[in-house]
Amino acid sequence: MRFRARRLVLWITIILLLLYVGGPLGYLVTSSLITDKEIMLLGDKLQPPSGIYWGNIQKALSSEWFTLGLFNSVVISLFSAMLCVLAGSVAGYAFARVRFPRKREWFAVLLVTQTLPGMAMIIPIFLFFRGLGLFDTQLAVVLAEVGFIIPYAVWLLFSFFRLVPPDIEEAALVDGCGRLEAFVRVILPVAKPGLMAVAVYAFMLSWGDLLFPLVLTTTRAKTISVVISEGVGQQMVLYGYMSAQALLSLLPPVILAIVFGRYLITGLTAGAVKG
Amino acid sequence: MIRRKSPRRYFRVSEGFFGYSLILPALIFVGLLKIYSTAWSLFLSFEEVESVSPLVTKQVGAANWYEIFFKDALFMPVLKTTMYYSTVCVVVGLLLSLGIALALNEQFRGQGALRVFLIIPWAIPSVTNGYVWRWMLSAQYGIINGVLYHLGLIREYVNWLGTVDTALNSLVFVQIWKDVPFMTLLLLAGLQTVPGELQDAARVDGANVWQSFRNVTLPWMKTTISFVMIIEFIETFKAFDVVYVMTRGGPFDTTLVFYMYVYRVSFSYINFGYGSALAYTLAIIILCLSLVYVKILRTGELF
Repeated sequence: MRFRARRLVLWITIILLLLYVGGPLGYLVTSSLITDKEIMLLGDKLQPPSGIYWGNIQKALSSEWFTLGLFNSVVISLFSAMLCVLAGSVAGYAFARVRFPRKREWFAVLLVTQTLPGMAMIIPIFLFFRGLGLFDTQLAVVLAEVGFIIPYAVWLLFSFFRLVPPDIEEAALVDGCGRLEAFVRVILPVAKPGLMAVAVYAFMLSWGDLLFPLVLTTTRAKTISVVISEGVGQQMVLYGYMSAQALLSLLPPVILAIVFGRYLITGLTAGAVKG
Repeated sequence: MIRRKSPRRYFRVSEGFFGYSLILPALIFVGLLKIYSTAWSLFLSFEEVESVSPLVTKQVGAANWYEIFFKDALFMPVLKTTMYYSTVCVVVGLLLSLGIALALNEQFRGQGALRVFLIIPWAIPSVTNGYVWRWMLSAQYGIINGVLYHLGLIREYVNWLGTVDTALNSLVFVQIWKDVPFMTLLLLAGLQTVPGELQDAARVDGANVWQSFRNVTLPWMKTTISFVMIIEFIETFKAFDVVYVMTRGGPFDTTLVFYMYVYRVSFSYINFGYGSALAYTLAIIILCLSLVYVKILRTGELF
């Protein structure tokens, strides 16, 4: 009896969760794939739409600003993910495996900076990049994002490298590998899930961020988040068109989350559970 | 006598050099972008910007700081709004996610798939999330008004985001929608570490569901729950994207949270000095909150 009651609660919860997540997403998909007139009838009279209309998606994809934003977001997120993995993996390895003086202090510095809110540094970051002549460039956004994500990347990879058994590395060293070679040839392949998690995580954070690109760009380097936030202010009545933009903007991170979900969950929940 | 360098010592020196060269790239990024700019912010908070391009500033002493605490009529309301926003998100979010996590903490087919499904709201960019809900809550053709009206729950369409009474709670609702599935995942990971024997023992001793939750699960989950609460509090204290997209702080500043206020002062009013002082106040609050977080993590035990 007790078992069946628990099962019932379980399945009701699952169904509610499917509606909880699927409802808003389903509505977004629907309103990007029907005409504005049908959208109004759906919202007002709950009248179901009659068929699929691709015009909104086509219109979004032929908008110069939208595609530029999409392109900038792809470039910025890819480069920021790459830099985070490169700089994060070597530092995470050093903290996990290399003995050097003041290690604890440097690690603490990294962890403390992780808590500094972006808003507390956005004015100097703006002035800094403007001073370097990098205002409104993709590079400025990439560097800002990496600086922001790197403490987390180091922390996450540190916890991954700590789990790699020291024996494999020692065996490689005995076989005549240098430290760096042992790291690249032996440790990195074992820590692949961690590297993936960091890459995906950094990509998603850069893709979704608003504050840095909002302040650091005006036209050429605008990201998709900025484009959409502007559209909301100016073109809110173009429901179908805006919804199509929103749908296209969430596809890359959501697809990544689904494909790499398991790595991400392992990585992100690691901190919550104390081993 | 020839003093030979001991091999151990030689090893250590090169090991130290090796370590530092590995952490250098990360330190440069953090040092340049975070530490340098946070320090610059502190200087700016004692200045007034007379011209932005080129940058001309004037020392004004503690005037900006004085203004925050004694002259700014918006500061206390903003702080109150932010506290409300974070507190409701933490309390409601925790209750919901704990309930869901407890219900899901069982063996069933499709467990892994459901978990991946649960990270979708977290993966959605918050700007997009803000747009989706702004559209659904729209006063003209939004689906929420339509559904509630046809169910007979409201007599006329409500302007959820444009009305003083409903705007802030609507934003809180949207934030909770995005955060709860992720909080559930964290709690679920914690629940799975509760040893089954402990619960069996409680059951053998005649404990009912509530007693075994209260006396076995809850104490075991203390760290995870505190972690989830503090993370959610800090993150929602920094809420910006959703507010920026949905209300920009309106109507009548009722949804003006801290981040939004700092942004408005800094980049709409181009008041870098006062903006920096406000941002610093925010950073200090967050830092205090983070100390609690660090204490929970007990980083000292890692080495």
